[in-house]
Amino acid sequence: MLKAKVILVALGAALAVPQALAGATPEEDRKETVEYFKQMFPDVPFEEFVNGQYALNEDRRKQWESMQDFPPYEFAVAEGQEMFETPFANGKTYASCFENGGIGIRQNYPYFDTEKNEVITLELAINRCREANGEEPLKWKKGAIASISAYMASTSQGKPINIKVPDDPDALAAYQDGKEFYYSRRGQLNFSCASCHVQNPGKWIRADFLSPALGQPANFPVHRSKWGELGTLHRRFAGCNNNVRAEPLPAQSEEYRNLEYFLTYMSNGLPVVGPATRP
Amino acid sequence: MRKGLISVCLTTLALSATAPVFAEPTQADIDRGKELAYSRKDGNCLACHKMDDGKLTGNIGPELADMKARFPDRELLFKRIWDETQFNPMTVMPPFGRHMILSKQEINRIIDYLYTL
Amino acid sequence: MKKPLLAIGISLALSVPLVAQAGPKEDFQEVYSKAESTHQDAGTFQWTITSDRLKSAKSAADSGDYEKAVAMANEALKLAEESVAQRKQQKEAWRQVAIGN
Repeated sequence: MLKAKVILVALGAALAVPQALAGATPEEDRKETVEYFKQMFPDVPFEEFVNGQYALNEDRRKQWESMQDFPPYEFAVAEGQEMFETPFANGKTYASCFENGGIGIRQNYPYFDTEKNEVITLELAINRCREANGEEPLKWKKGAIASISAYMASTSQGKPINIKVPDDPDALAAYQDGKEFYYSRRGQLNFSCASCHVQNPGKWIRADFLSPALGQPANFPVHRSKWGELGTLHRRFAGCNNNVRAEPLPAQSEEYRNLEYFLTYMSNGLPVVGPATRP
Repeated sequence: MRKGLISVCLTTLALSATAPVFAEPTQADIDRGKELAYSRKDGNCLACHKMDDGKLTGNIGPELADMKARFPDRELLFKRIWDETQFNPMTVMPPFGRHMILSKQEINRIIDYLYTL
Repeated sequence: MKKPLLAIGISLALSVPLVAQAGPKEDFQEVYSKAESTHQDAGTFQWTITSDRLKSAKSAADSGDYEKAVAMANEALKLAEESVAQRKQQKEAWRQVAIGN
């Protein structure tokens, strides 16, 4: 606890000269972020950060491990696989829209499309694939899209997250937008994502244990006990915004996609572990 | 009970006044303060602070104990609950007054309660 | 929810005589549209509580309770103004805790 405080104070001192640091590259940001969390949690191995609160809290970890024999998302993954493999009305399948037939590619999402000038998340790619093949898009936050996304993540288990910010002003702007969103305080309660997940991971907010920013997107889509089902990362974003009394933005809005881009970039090198469970 | 009536009048006065009125709090004031401090929709202090008989409290902020000794200046305590970011820009404590999460009267009731801890 | 009740009570007491003179419907319209446009100005920094108050104001007006409608719209306006202030402030302040500025 005391150590974390020391770091925060040190960070505050370093930040007193933001201009000197302005213009940091995404890779410099990422390295500093990894270093920050390593100092905050010196006993936690880098790869363990994908397990969020289970990496930091022994009691929570035991509860979690006891769930691993029969994970509650198993049925959804099987259902996702079936949907993934079932041809559309035109005879094509999802595989036709993705590199390597959509197998083992989760770690490359989201990416910046330099032709369309926007961030493409896995869920966006799934729905665009449907539309390109004459199918109705799925709802964004849960249900079929979460199941398909969960199946695709399951084929990518263990692959290191590999997000790229190409040398392109628009890509860099999308990354910066996401970063600014992450650190901006919102809502009547005046919380940023970072208020909890950078400043206070490892602490309790009432009966909830706060996880660190590092590794967070690696376990999505996630089965939350609170939801009783799988949900996408953007569903979680909306829930967090709502908790601080900030009006949530639409799932797959440009803002949330840029946020996902920044957040996932920070987790580069960590293994994909989605789908996973959380309280 | 004339005494009772007077105290009711005082409470009403305190509630309707814009400036904080530091009349000696009644038990009702203190109870109301505790209710506001514990309620998730209002102060929700337990989310971050260990205090009193609160269960499943958070540990983001310091424990709220010995409040009168630690914050002898009531007005200063009021200002810090009103907007702690004025004292510490890095704090995650919501600016309860500035953001209208609690009214002046409500913050005063919470202080009445905090001063019993 | 004692706070809104109290606020209604206070504003009822305060606004009745004024509203009676100015025309309650026009009063409401003015405050409401100002609150709504300020809420829009908050952009991606809108507060849910502001939306809630706007809804309450609208439904009170729809049922003819203009005193309550004005009180709710006034609250919405103040909340919206704070959310706009937050948006402006965060334009620079987000860097305060950002890692790797």
